[in-house]
Amino acid sequence: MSRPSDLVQGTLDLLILKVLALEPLNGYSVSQRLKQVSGDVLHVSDGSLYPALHKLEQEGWIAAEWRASENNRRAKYYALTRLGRKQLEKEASNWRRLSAAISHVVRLKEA
Amino acid sequence: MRPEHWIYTLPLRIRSLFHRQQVDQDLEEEIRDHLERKTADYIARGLSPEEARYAARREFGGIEQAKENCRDMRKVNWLYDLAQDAAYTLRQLRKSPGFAALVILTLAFGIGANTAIFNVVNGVLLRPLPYHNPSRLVGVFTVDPSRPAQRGPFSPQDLDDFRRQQQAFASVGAYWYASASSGKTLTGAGEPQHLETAFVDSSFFGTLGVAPALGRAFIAPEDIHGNDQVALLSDHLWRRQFNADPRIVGKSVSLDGAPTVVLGVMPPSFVFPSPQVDVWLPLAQITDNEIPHIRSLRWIGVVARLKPAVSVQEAASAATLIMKRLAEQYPQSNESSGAAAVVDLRGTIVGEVKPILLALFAAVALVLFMACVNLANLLLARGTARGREFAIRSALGAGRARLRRQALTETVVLALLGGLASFLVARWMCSALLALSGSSIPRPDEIRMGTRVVLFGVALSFAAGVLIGLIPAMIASAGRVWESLKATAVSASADAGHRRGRDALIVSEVALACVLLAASSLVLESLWKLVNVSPGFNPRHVLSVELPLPLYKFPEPSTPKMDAYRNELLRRVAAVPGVLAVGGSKTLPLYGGGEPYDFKVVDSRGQTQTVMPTAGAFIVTQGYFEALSIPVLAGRVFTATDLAQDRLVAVVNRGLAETYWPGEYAIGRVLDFGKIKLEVIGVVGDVHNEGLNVGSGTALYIPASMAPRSKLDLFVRTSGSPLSVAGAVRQTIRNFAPDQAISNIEPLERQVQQTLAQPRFFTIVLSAFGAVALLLAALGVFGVISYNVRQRTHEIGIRMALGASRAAVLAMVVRHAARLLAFGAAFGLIGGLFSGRLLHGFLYGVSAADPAALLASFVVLGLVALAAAMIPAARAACIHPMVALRDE
Repeated sequence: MSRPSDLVQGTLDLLILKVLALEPLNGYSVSQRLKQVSGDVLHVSDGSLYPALHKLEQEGWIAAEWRASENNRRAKYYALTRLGRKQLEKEASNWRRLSAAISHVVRLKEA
Repeated sequence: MRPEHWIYTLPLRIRSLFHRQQVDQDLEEEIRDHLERKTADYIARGLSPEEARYAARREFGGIEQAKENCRDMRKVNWLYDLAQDAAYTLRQLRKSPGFAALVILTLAFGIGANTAIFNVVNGVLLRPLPYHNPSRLVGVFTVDPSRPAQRGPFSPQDLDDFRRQQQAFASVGAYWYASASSGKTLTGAGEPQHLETAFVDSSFFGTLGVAPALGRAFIAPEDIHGNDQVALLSDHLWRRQFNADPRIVGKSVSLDGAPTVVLGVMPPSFVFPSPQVDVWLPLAQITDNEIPHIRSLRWIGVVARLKPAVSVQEAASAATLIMKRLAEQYPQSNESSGAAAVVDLRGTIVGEVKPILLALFAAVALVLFMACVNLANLLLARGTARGREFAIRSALGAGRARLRRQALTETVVLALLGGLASFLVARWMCSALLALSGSSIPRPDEIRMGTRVVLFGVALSFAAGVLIGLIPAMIASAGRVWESLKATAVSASADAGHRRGRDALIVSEVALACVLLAASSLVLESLWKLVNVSPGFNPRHVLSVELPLPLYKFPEPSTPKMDAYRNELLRRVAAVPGVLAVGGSKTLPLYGGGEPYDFKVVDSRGQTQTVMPTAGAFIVTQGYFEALSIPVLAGRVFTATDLAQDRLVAVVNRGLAETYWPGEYAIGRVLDFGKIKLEVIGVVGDVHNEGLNVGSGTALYIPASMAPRSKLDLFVRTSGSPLSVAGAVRQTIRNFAPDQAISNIEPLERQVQQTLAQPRFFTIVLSAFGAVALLLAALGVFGVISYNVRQRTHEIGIRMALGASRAAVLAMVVRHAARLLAFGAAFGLIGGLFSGRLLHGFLYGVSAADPAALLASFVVLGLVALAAAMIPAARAACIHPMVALRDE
């Protein structure tokens, strides 16, 4: 399992929020979906995924719902809240600004 | 945004707090669900169920760690941690009950004392008066522009003019009350009873905004003499005398022999102008015969309600303008009342006692601070002993903040427990304070422990806990943690900052103790001087009998009958066995009350001067000077014949004689009152008529036959104890005049003591605080030096092994203590001078920087603190080097 770079660690919140914006999912599905849509580049370790999900829940950006799963068990599904949507926009625009700046620096012509 | 946030998160928080187990279970389920799905995935990829489960687990990584991280994300953790810390603290305290008891008791007393004083301050100074919109109520006074500090009442004519001309007040009310001399006798209902009476006009109750609980108040027609035989009863009189019978309203009672209709009963909370007032009568009842209604005689008190937009200052300037105009219009009578003062009403009632209460409040706060410092030191010592514990916690992952919080929680819990106990202490102290103060604290009925006082106590406990905890907490978490884990003790340079901190604390304690002790010695010396002031008469072996004379029995100008009544009374009391002399006066000595008569004299240089004796004129009978043992310096004093024959004679005091006829005979001089002229027949010694702390000034004595008054205070000099003849005197009076009420009968000495009640109260309480401060400082010094010695045991062992003598070790410790004391004393000196300046107003005969008092307090503190340091020093000197070296 590739270790995500430091930059991606900090943007884990952003990624999770975006994934949940597409549709409500449970924890395992979030990491699967992320792997899928990023072309297998972004892997979230399970040990970081759940603390991040819980943090987002405590902040009120995602809300949890227990649904019945197969074998009569419960599964915890997370969905984006309205506040979460606002937070997502804010973080997305931060990311855009940051990445644009980094790209700009990297593209500078060397002497 | 915020409220929405809470809608989402509040249920979550509540759940995390109260359904912790359920929440943890949910977490378990969530992780298990994840693992199952992953396992299913692996099975789909072809692994066996065993291998799939294993792979899923391995890929997850540290499951427990992840779960812990999830738990850490919960926002209510701090609350949960707090509860955990508190529970832990309580468990620890149970293990060291002695320590806990010491801290809790100390705090209980410290916080309790503060709460008690705050309770008094709250009731007396902070609670608004129980009238409608009390912040708009003021008292209005006339002021002599040359003596702006003294406030006086109005004369009837001035008041009328004032009422007509004033614009600043929505309403103005007038009253007159002179305790014990404005009294009436209630007859026809058992024993004749003396009633304290206040006289008010019809706008008085309206101005204050108070309505009677039963019946109605006075109306304008009752302001006219003739319609004024009505009365309003006080609640306590109504209950005591009339059994709280509502049918008393409308009935007639006999006051001073005149039938008076009871119009109503006032509510129990109404105690203006004094809680002693039994009944309110119309001001119109005070006719010209009782008190001459002339512009120059001022006796009417004024309360007023400010108009809505008017401030006190505006009203004061407006009032002063009016009085100035009157002074210009009537220069002879109004020269000494050309200005006015407007003071908020609560201020007039509590103004005198306010600085005392505030001084005590400051003193008790200082004492609590000192107690907190001592406890902080105690905790520091204990905390360092627990250094290992904190080190282990830190190693297990507790952050600095968490450690700090835990240490703080301990002290706050202790403080809150102390706070709980403090309420008992506060209640007890409050009653003790009130008992000690006698009647020198106004508004005592307002002193109740209400919500504000309880909140104060709780807040103070919390603050004390934080204060005590902050210092050791900061040190405990300061990263010295690893040091304590070392096997060998380090120590010569161990926690130098630590030691400096504690030294600084002790220096501040010593300084504070100095301040309090200096203040205490100043007031003690002042009280001592006051108590030793010779009043000018001899109050021992004198019985004071206060009689409201039934003037109403003697139709107006029939003074011979009045004289005969009085003389017979005196004669009969003089005949009681054990009585050496009897005399009477309208007033009690030391309580003031001199009549403001003025007259003209021709002084020793031949110039005519107008004299207004500073102490006033006193109306006395024959035998007065003998009964009080006032020395006769020249000539003679009044005899029965003087009074019987209505002789126009007067006696002056030495002060007056020396002022106008220095070095010459005062006998034979003439005092010109205009209508009559009096001849001086004697000069008597100075008496502190206005109080022990006021000079005796100039005073005049005139015979009672000349100015009959409705009150007579008999002074009965006895050969034995005054109370031994009290019964016989009472009986004699009753035999002579069955409906002569006796309003008070007690030894004069007790009444003299009463004048010192306020300074005595203040001095005792402040000195008590000073003594406690001394004890705390001594304990503090003892604690710090002991601790230092213990810390340096190793070092001392080395020194002794290297040849240092016991004496040298002793000197080393004592030097350290002396250094602390010196610094503390230096700061204390500055603080002491400062506090002396603040106490300036309370001191009698003692300057604010009195060297004797300051020196005494330093010496006492120095001796006590050194003694406290000696014990550990001696212990240090007795350390056996081998033991010390072995001890790590």
